[in-house]
Amino acid sequence: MRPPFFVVALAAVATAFFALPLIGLVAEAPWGSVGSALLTRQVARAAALSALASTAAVGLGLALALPLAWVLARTRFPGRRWLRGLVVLPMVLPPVVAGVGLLTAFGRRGLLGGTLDAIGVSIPFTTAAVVIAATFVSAPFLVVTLEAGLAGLDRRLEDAAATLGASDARVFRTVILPGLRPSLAAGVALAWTRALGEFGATITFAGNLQGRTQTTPLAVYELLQTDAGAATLLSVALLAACLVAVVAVRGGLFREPE
Amino acid sequence: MIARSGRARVPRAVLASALAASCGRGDTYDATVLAAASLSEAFTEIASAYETAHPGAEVTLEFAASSTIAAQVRAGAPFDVLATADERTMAEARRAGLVDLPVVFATNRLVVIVPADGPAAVRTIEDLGRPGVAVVLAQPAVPAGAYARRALAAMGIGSAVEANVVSNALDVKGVAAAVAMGEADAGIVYASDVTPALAARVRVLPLPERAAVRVVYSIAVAADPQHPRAARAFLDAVRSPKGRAILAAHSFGVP
Repeated sequence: MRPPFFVVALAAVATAFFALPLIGLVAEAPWGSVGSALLTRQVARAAALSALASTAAVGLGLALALPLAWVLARTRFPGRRWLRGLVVLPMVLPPVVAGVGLLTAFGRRGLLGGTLDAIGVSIPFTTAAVVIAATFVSAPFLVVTLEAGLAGLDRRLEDAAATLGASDARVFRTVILPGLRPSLAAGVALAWTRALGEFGATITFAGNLQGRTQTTPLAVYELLQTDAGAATLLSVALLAACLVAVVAVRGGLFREPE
Repeated sequence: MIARSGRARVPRAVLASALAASCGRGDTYDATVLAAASLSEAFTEIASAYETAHPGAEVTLEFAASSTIAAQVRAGAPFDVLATADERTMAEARRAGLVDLPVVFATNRLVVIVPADGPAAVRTIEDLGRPGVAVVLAQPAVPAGAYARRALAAMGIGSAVEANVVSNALDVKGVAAAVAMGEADAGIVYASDVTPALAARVRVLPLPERAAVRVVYSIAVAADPQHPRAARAFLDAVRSPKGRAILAAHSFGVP
């Protein structure tokens, strides 16, 4: 059924709304000075840190999200809905609020501050803090997609495999994981790009220091004050990274419904 | 609205739209003020006094690092008054044709703050250079960060302290927050930032004479203000005896 004209027109407006900032970035960037702007120590350090931290955040996120998603999808207990709400909360929380929360939990004066200090660990203003902040805000994407993926699996396949003698581990490896591949792909793409773009929680909990905690978004903010052209170019680079991440897992996000 | 008679309505419509147009610009005392983060408390009070003096007027205040608001202004943000924590940022805005002639309206001092119950090891500014001390400064591009580094360099401990910097806060208030929360061992902020609220959570260490830097605040009306009359009026309010008294009460120097 062809949609009515006004629906198509509104969709076109929506497309423009999403496309214009991206087009603007690319169009306004001073491409002539791309070399001098991006081939700097600050940009190199920010890019390396961002890539490392986002990937680590996804790894840590998967370790946290998979068990959570499993419990949410396959068990029944009172308060399950609250647990799901809790887990989704970091996704919708204002990032700076998440940062303050992380400080009150893991900061020197935080809930775990004394304990951490006793074992000689201080988290704020470290690269670990960058990873923790990024994990906190991006892992919910993994929980949500993995729970949906698990809920959508055909249990009969697992039962059949078990009947044929496969151990739990083997069933997980050969039946469940492959079945989860589309949701894993979608979750990882979303989580990685969310971790990459994290700003508010990072600046509050991890701070801003080149080479240690200044991620690419923080570098963009700093550059905006001194060299807007370089900030625009770096923004385009970030945009390209996110685009590649999303397209690379095309199968999960953009697969046409059969 | 349904026009009843074509010809009779036109002159009234023209009058109405002319009035509306003239009310759009310059006739109100509403003002948009972009100011350095360190002016938060003082300017909020000045704006309050201004609104009392001009009933019905509304002052919109934005506080951020001077370099941040300068970037916004360069990007075309509409404003009436700009107030920066250094003359350099204002001079750049002037060179770009964004503001009218600026005037100096206040000065400030730098102070070192440490958490009230922090390690007793940090007692003087020299201690900031000792290994293991976690220092937070504002970003170098932000006036507070530039002034702080200049003061440290004057004391010969610039690179020692730089090695101890664990974070370059986005503005001077970020430095205050890090120290107040006990996450940093020390930070350098302005004397005016030590509000009663902050004083309850930090100890203040004054800077020795040889580390004193001249912190100068500059204010100007926008070259193309949204509300020209209000812009002038607000600037006058800041420089009035009442405005100066408010600034002095917040530990600013008023030349």
